[in-house]
Amino acid sequence: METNRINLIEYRGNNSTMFTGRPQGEEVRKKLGFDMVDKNENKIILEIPVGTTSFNPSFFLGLLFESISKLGVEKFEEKYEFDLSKVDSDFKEIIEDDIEDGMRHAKNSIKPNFGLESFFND
Amino acid sequence: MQIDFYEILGKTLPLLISVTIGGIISAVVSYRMFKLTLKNDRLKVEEERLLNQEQMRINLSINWYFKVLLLPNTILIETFFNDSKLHLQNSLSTIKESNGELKVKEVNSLNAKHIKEFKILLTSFEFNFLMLVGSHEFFNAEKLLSWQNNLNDFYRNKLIGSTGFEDTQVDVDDALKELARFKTALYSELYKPLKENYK
Repeated sequence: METNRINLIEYRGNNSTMFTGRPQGEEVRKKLGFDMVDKNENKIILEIPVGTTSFNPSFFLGLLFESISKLGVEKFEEKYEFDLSKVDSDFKEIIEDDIEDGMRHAKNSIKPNFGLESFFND
Repeated sequence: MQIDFYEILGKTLPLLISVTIGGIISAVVSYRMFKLTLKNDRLKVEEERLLNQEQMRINLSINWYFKVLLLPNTILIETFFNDSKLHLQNSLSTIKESNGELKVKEVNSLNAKHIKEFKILLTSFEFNFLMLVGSHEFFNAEKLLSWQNNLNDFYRNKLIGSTGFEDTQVDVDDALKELARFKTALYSELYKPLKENYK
């Protein structure tokens, strides 16, 4: 199993410190060809670049919802990993929470009856 | 004059048979049609009963949505927006006052603090209300999720985007107006099931 590292710096936008917006996330997904990537067995490490202040759940969903939906949560978590080692300590916890929120929203969207019901069933 | 019974019978029998068969067919058809009409009427009554039952169920569900889910939680919605308004106002004012005076590290700490504070507000609102209302059968929870993410994007854009600029570029009133638009959008979404389903 090969491991590919992807530094997201060039997809953050000019002079921006944030990853934001679902359409922007979907655009990056297309550029990175994740639809094809999902079909192979390679592991992907997404590097959150230095100076990042925010990795909004909206961007997370745009970038990765299709993968979570196609692969399922378990396989997705095996295949995709985030590297936050370069993130400023002030924002590390925030970005970890953002990823967690994005995952929760993705899981809720996949289930037909989401909201409270899925919350209790989890 | 001798009546030839067999001759008369021979002449009238086909007519008699065809009249009899015609009569039987007509009786059978009439009976079948009567049964069919009866069946159709019964189906119609059953259909109406089911429709009424479904409409009653929808009305009950919508009533429950409105009276149990929405109305009692209006205070929660209002509190969330009041707290958010206050937080946005204070955060942007702090940023406005400190712009140009803080070092990068201090700016980061300030931004991180503001983001964390709003995150607590939004996540609490999500767990206390959005998830609850999103579980209702008539509610489009995807739209609610999209609304939540857009609000989060707006808030962070305002907070992080305002640091490092001149005082005049941080427009607090404009940000508060934008926040008010999010409130209107949420209420509009929350009242949609009532408009669409209540008869």
